[in-house]
Amino acid sequence: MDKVILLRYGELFLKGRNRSYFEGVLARNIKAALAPFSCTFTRTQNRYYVENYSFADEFAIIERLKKVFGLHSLSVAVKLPTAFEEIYAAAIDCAPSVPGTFRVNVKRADKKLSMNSMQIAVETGARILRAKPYLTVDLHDPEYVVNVDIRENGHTYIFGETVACAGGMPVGTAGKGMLLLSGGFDSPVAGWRMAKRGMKIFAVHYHSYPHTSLQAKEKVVDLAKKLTPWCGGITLYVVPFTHIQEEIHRRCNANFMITVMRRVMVRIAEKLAEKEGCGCLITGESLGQVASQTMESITSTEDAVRALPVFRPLIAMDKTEIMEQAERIDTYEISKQPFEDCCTVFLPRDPVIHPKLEEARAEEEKLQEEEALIAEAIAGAEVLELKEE
Amino acid sequence: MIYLDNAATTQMFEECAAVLQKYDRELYFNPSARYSGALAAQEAVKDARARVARRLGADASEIYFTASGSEADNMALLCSLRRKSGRVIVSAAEHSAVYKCACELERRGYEVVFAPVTPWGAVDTERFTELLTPDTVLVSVMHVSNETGAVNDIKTLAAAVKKRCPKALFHSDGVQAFCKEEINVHAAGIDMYSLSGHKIHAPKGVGALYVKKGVHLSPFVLGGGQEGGVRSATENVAGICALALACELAGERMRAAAPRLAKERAEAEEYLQKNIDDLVILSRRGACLDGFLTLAVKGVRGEVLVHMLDDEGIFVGTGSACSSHSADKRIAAALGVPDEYADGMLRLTCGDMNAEGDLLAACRALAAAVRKERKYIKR
Repeated sequence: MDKVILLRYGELFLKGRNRSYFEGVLARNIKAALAPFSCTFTRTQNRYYVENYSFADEFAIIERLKKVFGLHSLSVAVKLPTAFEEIYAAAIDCAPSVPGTFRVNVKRADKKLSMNSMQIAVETGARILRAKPYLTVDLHDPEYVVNVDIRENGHTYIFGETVACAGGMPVGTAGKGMLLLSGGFDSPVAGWRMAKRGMKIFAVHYHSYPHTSLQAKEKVVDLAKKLTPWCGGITLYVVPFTHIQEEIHRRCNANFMITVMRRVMVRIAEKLAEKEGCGCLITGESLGQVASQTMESITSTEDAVRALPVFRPLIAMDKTEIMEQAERIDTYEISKQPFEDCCTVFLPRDPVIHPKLEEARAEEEKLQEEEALIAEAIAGAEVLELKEE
Repeated sequence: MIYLDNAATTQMFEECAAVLQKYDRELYFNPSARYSGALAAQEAVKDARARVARRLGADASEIYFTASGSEADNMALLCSLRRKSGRVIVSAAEHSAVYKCACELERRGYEVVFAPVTPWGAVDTERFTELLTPDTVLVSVMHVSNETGAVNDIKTLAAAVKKRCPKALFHSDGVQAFCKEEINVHAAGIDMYSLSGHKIHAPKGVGALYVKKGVHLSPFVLGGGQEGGVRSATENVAGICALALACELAGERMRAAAPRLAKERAEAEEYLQKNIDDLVILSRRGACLDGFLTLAVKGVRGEVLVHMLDDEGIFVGTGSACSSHSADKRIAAALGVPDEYADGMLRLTCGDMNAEGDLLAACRALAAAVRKERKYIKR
């Protein structure tokens, strides 16, 4: 009697002829997630199994699989050769040991058996009631379900609880995106949401040392690492931004500091995106959240992007919703650390909230040798290949 | 590398490292056990207790070893009170370990008042005396300020407390003073005194609390009954022995370095006054330990200056390292530092292991950094 983890996938069912491609990517991602563990992973039609693992690893394996996008749910099952007495015994074990209601679900792919699904369910239920008389049957709204899944290959799986997984699409099936990652709450959530739709994430962070601290950079590295179980490895560019900020400060109208800064940031991000073959930029902007996220500010920023679309998965989310999501994906505690990021240094007293596009362009033009500054920043970027720890 | 954050922590003496090696690798036995090796460990702790006591002018039975200065402060403030109500007085510029305990006492129903300090961080004796009431149960005033190096005359303060409120206990956080400022706890008439190992070149993770005979502490950690049942835990034999050695060595070495530190301190202040405009020297010469040079510059964030000096291989502090990550402006407010200076606080602290010229070199780099950074003052 072995323990097995059964995995089920969700939205892939909707796919037609290219379904096998999606399944293949999902299987690859699951294998990568299981790499640190000693276990076997098998894939039959519509189903994935994790077997031969150490019981001590079970919790860690489940926690890890819950972060694989494309998986819908999983159950820890007992696997046994198909034989009625053994099935009944295992079903009794699986049923709860405290008073409550239950039902038995039977799926019978092996049609050669002497009893049909209904008969097996009735007999299994009767055995459970005899062994655990404090339980009662409720077919319509039971507190607990004992599942008996009889497969054609001579094996039966018995399981109770179903654990919800992350859902979404397998990472790698929806292209690549360059995430503008700050140390705040929003951008990690934005990256997570795009990864959930199957996008492979790359990230860029702008660093203003010595105006910001080394801890501020470490914080961003920690945030990106937090995303790696969901996203797979992440390539993080840490771009030195101090010189550019100093130049903007020197040449441009102070009220446009942030506007021009963001225009330069997206220009750099787009160049890095092209280098990595990313098809879009991703930002954590949420409409109206701060002065730089008014519609006019967003327009002024987007204007500086040459060709790629900019995805803003949080655009219509409230701050509280974003914070809740950050807590769920475990980035909240890191984001709340109080290190300043580059957006808060050189902050003008009076930033323009509704910049006119023409003015924004004109202010950026004042920046001399912008191309050279951008090239210098990119050349000085630190490239971190972050792997799951 | 120039290290000027000796108030945050110090480099361990080599001699202490050897002691750690000896007691962690060879005499690593649990002092509570019954075999001969354990007895040797027990003897070592006993000997260390006596040596630390001697340094304080106390009796060995009055020394309780702890895991840190903060822990000693916690024990002193939270475990010494018998009465359930009354007034607790702490100075407004105390380290967070004392300040947070005072807040906790307030939550438990005591009336907590903060004694105002001078701009250089010492308790204002006159105003302090006005706060003393007959129902005062506990007073805590640090011996030397961790922010400015200001020295409090704890003997006079303790005498005032004993005169006006004879039932009150007097505690002093001696973490920054220990081995730098002479102390005789009996002569000073104080009831409790905290100290920490890593500020005097002993390892981190060891401290002590002096508790005058007759003052009863309720248990802080329950367990095997070590440290008189007040703080149970298997003794940190190696750390305790290293602390005992460090307090003897540090005493000598710091005394030897004192004249040099005083001279360099004076030169550094003169240089800074000449080369940085809009500068306030918070550590007043004569009233503060010479190892401390705490200052505030207008309109520049201290953290940015720390990074710029870091690039030159110079490590300095931004005030209490324990609170530099919080937005806590408590100390700046207590010292009356104007708002436009409060973000620009820096603390340069020299010790006996600094080389001659370290402080002046740091001041030169600091002046250059301030000049550079001031170009970007918010417009």
